[in-house]
Amino acid sequence: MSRRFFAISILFAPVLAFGQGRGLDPADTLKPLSDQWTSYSGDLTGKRFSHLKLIDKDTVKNLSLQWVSTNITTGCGPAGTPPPSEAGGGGRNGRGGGGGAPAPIVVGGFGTGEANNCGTARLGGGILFVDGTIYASSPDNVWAIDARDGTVLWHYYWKTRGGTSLQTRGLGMWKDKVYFELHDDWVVCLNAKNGAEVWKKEISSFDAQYFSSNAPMVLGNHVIVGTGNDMDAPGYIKSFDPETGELQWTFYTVPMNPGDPGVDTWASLDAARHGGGMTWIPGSYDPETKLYIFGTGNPTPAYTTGRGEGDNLYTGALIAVNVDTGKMAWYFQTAPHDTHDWDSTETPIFADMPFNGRMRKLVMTATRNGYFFVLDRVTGEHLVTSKIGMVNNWASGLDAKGQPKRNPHKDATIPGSLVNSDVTNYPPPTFSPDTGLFYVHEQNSLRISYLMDPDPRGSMGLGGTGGGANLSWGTSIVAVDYKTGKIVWRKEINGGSSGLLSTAGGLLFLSDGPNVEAWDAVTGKGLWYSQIGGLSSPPETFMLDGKQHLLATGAGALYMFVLN
Amino acid sequence: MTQRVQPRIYRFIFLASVLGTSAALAQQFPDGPGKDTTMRLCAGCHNADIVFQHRQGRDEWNAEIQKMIAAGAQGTPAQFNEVLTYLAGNFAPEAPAGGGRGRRGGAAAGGGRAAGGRRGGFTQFTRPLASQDVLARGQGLYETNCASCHAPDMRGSEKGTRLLRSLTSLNDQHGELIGKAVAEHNPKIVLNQPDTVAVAEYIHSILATTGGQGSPPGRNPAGVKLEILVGDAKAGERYFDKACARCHSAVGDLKGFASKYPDPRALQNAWVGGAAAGNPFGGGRGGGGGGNPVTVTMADGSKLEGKLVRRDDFLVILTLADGTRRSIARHDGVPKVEVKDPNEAHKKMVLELDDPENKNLHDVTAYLATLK
Repeated sequence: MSRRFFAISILFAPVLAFGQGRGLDPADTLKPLSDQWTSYSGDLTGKRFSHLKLIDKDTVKNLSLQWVSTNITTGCGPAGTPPPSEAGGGGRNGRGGGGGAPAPIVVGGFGTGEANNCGTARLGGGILFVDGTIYASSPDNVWAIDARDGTVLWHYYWKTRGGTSLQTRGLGMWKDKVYFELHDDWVVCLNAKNGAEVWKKEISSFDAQYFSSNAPMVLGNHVIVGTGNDMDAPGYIKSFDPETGELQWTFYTVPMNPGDPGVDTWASLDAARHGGGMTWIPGSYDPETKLYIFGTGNPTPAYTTGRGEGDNLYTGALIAVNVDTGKMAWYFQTAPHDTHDWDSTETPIFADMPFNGRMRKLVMTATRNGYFFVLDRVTGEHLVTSKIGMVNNWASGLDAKGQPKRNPHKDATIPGSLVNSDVTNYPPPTFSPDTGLFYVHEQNSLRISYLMDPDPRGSMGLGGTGGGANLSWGTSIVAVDYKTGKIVWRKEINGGSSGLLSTAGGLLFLSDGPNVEAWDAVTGKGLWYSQIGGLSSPPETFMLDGKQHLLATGAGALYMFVLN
Repeated sequence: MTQRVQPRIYRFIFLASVLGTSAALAQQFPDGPGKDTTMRLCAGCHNADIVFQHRQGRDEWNAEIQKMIAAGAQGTPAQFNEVLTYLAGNFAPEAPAGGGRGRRGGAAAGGGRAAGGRRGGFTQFTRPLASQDVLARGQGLYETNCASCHAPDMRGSEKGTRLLRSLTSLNDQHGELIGKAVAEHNPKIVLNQPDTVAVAEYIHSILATTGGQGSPPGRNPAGVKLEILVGDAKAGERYFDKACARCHSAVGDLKGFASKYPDPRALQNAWVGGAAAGNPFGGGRGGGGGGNPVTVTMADGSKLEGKLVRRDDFLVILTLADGTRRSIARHDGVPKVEVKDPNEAHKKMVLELDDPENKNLHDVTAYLATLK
């Protein structure tokens, strides 16, 4: 099709009416983060660095609350409507909106509604902002919300069969379609205009105790989904056709067949096939190399013997998979033979930056075991490893590949070992190309880890250990120099992190106790705050009607700030 | 994989108001002392199912709570003790596996209720169990035909895989997959159709007794003594004299310490952890945690002393000795806020004591266990 013809056909195409807006042009997902928020991390680089700079160090003090939508509650029971006692207050679908009739509920799922958790929405993960509409989710629920006044436009409710129901990582989008994973192991494609189901596909076996909470990632002509399991099952990602839902490929994170690469790093093929390596946090994507790079979770059994003495490939690793073929290009283990549930699934960050005198296509990650890594994202070549965490003592150093070497004495032992707890976790970090700093939250604590199940056959899942004592040095935000891995500054926050956002306005947005705050990205100095009661997901920013907005999320609530 | 650490829990009052309307969630929990506090501190981030899937002892619940505190959960030690009492009292381990009988009674009493009675759990916990007759028959057949390789507890052996995590067992509904596996089994097993179903139902009854996050039935099936006191008490005494005796004394504050903590694991947790167990090692939350003593130096040099409620770059909030609450705006680091961590010296000592083989930890524990 010639360009001219294309232009004309657009001109005369019937105007598609959406809830509002025209949906998402797939080309927009490849743009650096600015006007819209089109995927889990805003754009596909995982940086959470917005190029918007209307809100900057000088103007941030003028940021003001435009609207609040509170009391967003999840669907209940067979029809999705809450019992009368639950509906008191602002009603089901948020208060503070522009009024009008309650939003329609679209009901899906294979449960009866009895297993759903009724009540305050646990809004979290990637909340999308596309063309004037916010798409937000809580486990088993999706809402489309008018970004100008917080009114719910439609509500999709999935009657779950139950299982493990933790937070969701959110939504994916392509054209006029929204994608969402259900904890009882389906991925559903919804019409962005009205929430109606377009297609749905089973991701994994509910009977085998999988639970699926990842945010679907739409990469070119692929919807990539991941899953979770604590019952010694294999991890994988799957790719579906965004239009039809047809399965394109499945990539297992552990060896599944005799002779598969990595099988010799396990006690047996059976051990490998029960080896975990779950995929519950989105990765990042490079359209030039077609590589989707993501982190894999812990091996299982997580803490005990039963997997042999090898590295347990490809658990606890960064993996680069070509999205057109579903084949692995390279891997790098951030936690070889993990014995601490280090679960290295944290979103990697891509940046094109100078390194040792030349521009490199980098991938960076800070993993739960308290190490920061920089690699070449085309080849997987290792460039930097550094340690974060004030009391990080589980490893005895680095090996020749730049991977941390586990100290077996710090595994869970019968008499107890004194060892650090998780140094960071799923709340996402951010990288600012302007400051060259990688910002991540750092949890600092020591505990005693006991082996409670000494069965020589090993335990299962996350079983077999117990903890005792706990000494905390608090939680901080650290700013890490990507070239050296050294911590440039560390600043303690109240409570935990809900994830970070940096901007070309020189700001770092974050949660600090009950506040959403803006810090100077260079120095960490606090410049602005609003005490909205704590965030449940990372702050996001985008443009609406020529103004830069900031979206913060609390329990069942959205807070929209604007710079007027 | 652990997603359960849900940080940024910092909104008691806010949560209380949310939970005030969330009666449905509260109804899923048994009533008892500490329920309200548990709802308030935990339910903002956690659903009922995560609790229902954890049935464990007091130590394990305590460890879980400590992990949450490390991840940012906020509350006073007294409140966390209430939570511990509630969880340990209402979500203790169930009867040991031994054939799923612990659950069967409940199933019968519930008139065909789900196996574990856990609403909304995975299939193995909610599926109806077969009748007692079928399960008893299935158990006998399992022990005769399967247990020699797959082990009586189904954890498997060198000769047979672990049925507890087998996708065949988990995905099987009523014997169709297990029946297929039996038919194709090598070495050959001869079982008729009803017997195969009985074995399958028995396997499901055992799967129903697995714990949260994939932990198998039975804490310590190997029966190994979990010996905590492996250290050298003499070396521990020398270390104590060098590092601890500045603040502590075997004949003073630690007199009878081992009698107070007759369980060696509890003793070790107490002396390392400090305040949580209310022992002489003091405590308090780390860093700038609320509740710690604070000194606020105003621009004019005057000082306020009290207990910290919260501080950030914009506000410092403290409670003065007379109980008065003071909130003061901050700008460019003024007023200056100095938080003293009462546990600081102890934490420093623990860091110094830490060695790559946990030797000092075990030696000091062995020594303190002699202070009866």
